[in-house]
Amino acid sequence: MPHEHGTFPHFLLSIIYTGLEKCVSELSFDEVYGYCKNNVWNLISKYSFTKEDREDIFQEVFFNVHKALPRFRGDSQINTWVYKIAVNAAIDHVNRQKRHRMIVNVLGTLRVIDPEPVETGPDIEELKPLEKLSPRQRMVLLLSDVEDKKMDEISSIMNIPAGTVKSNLHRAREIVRKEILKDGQFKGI
Amino acid sequence: MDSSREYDKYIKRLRRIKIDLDENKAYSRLTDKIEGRRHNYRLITANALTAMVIILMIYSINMPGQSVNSGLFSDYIFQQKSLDGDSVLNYVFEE
Repeated sequence: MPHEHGTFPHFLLSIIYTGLEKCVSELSFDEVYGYCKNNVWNLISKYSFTKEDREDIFQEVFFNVHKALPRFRGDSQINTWVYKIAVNAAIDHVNRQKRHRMIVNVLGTLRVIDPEPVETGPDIEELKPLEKLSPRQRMVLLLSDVEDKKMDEISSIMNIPAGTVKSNLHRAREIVRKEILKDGQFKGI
Repeated sequence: MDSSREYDKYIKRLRRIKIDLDENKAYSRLTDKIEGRRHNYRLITANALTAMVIILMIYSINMPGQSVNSGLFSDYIFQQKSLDGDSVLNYVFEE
């Protein structure tokens, strides 16, 4: 990791902080990053619809992992723990964007600021049927049907009851089925 | 039944999607953000230490009854008149 060597006290403090981070956690951040980055990227790349969002969420996930790693007690597998952080970061990101868009639209309507350009939708054709799902439904569907996670695992990762996972998954599948058959765009794949 | 088959095909297609991760860019962005956080922590600690040193200095200088010259140093800095009653500024700029 690059270090910014400024004055001597800064240099000394940076050594102390790095040392403390290593002492507190048995796992180093680089180990966790190397172990989990591909899984996290695979999930996020299908969850979000644009390159910028994918990169932002990926950065957010591992920044949160770095912050929380000293508190990781090994109650769950490291992969599950990182998944939890990834799921929260991804859903938060989408909700934050929705709020931002809503405020910008209101301000645009009131002519306080220029209205934002209309979004073009997902940059990959295959992700279009997922567009109609809520952030939570989309995540449940990806974890269950694409990542092959079990119900109780999804329930633990998303911190919601198994019943809620099931109902979200059922609804998500219904919506996606409708979207696939609409216009027949995915027929005969 | 038909929609289930279509759904399964769609999921298979979704699984096959591979979007490349620009590892160098992602890692450098991440380390920049982490380093920024460390920098803020260092700044906060350095400021807190500086404030503590200043408070300790002022406290030790102004501690009453600790030495015969107690308050002499702070008087030298803060008092407007020197010990013989002249203005300190006159004394400092005296040739």
